[in-house]
Amino acid sequence: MQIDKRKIPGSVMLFSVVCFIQASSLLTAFLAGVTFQDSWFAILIGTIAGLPMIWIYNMLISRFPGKNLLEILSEVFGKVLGKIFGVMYIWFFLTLTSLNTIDMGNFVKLTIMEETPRLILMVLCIVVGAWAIRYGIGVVSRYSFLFSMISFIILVIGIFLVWNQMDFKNFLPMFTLPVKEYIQGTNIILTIPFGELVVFLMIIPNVNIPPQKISKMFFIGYLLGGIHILVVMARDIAVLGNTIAMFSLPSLVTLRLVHLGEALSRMEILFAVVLIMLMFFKITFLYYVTVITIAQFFNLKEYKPLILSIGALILSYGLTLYVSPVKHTLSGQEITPIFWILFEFLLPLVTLVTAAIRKRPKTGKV
Amino acid sequence: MPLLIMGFVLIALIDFIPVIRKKDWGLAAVFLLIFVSALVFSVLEINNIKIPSIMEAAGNLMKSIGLSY
Repeated sequence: MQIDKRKIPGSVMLFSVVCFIQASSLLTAFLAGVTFQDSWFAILIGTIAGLPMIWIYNMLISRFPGKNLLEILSEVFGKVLGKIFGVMYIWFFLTLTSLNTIDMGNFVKLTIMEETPRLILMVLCIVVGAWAIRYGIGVVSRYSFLFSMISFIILVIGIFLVWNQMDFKNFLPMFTLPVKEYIQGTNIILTIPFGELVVFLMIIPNVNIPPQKISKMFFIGYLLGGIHILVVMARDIAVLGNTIAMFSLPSLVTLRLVHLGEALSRMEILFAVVLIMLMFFKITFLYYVTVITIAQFFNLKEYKPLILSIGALILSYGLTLYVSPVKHTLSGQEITPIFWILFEFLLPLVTLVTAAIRKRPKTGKV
Repeated sequence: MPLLIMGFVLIALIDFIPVIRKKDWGLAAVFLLIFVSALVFSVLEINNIKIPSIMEAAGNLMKSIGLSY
C-alpha cells in the first residue's frame, strides 16, 4: 500500500538523483584523507564499480513495477523476514538522515555561523524539512532541477576563477599508494554517495513513467552526479595537490584562494550557500523516506502525524552517534564504507537473487 | 530543559491531539513509540548522560571480527 499517492515526473527524479549525489561533495574529505592526489582515480573507479549496483536497483525496479523497497522485501522474503529487513532499513534511513543533519550543522557552524549553536541550525533544517514533507514528494523534490543547475553553474564558475591557481603537476606522483588505499577509497565513494541511492527505491511508485524509463533516468542521474563529484575532486587536487588531505573542507579552501584583483575574493561563500542548499535537499529527501518507510512498516493510513516526532528522533538520536567530527570522519573512512555495503549492495543483491529463485513476483515480468 | 519540554508539548499538541480525536489507535501507538524514544534520548542528552553510540558499537564489533580498514 502506497502512503503518499502524489506523483513526480521522471525528470524530477533524475535531478533528485543528481542533487543527492552533489550534496555529498562535502564528504569528499573522507576520501581525500585516504587517497590524497589520486582521489580522482578512486572516484572514477568508484563510479564504474557502482554500475553493477545501479543495475541491481534497476532490475528490482523493472521486476517489481509500482512497488517500493518494503513491498519488494515482503513479497520476496515473506512477512517475517521481510519485516526484519524492513526494520534494518528503517534504522539505516534514520541513521543516514541523522548523520547528514549533523554534517550540515557542523558545516554551517564552521563556515558561516560560528557563534550559533549547532543544535539550533539542525532544528531549523528539520523544521523546514518537516514543512516540505507535509506536502508530499512533489514539494520535497520540486527544486532538484534548480539546485543541481545552480551547483553545476557554480562549479564551472569556480573552475574558471581558480584556473590561474591550478597546477596539473599537483596530480603527480600518480598511482604510488598501496593497492589497499585505492580499494578503501573506491569503497568510500561507492558506499557514501553512490550506494545511498538505495533510498530512491522507496519513492519509485511515485514516479509517473514506465519502469524502463525510470531505470534510464536513474542511470543518467547517477552518471551526472558521478561526473560532478569527479570534476570537483579534480579541481581541488589541481589547486591543492597532496595537501588536500589536510583540510576537512577542500572545496571551501580551493574557492578561498580565488583572488581576481581587489574586487573578487571570498568566493567560498558561494560554495557554502550552494552546499547548504544541496544538503538541505538531501536531508529533506532522507527525512521523507524515513517517515514513509516507518508509516508503511506499521501499515498506517497516513504519515503526517509522525513527521515532527520523527524529526525530534532524528535530532536526538543523531547527537548520540559520534562524540566528535573527528570520530565521524574516522568512522567514515574505516568502518561505515564496509558496514553500508550490507544495506546498499548485499541486501538488494540477495533480494534480486531470491526473487529470481522463488520466481517473484508471481504475476509480473521476469 | 524548559525549551525542550516546550518543543515536545508543541509536537504533541500539533500531531497527537488530532490522532486521538480521529481514534486511530494504531497511529497513536506508533506516534507514542517514536515520541517517547525521542523524548528519552533528548532528556538524557541534555543532562549530559552518555548514551552508548550504536555506530561506535557497530564499529567495535566489526573491528573485532577484522572487518575494518
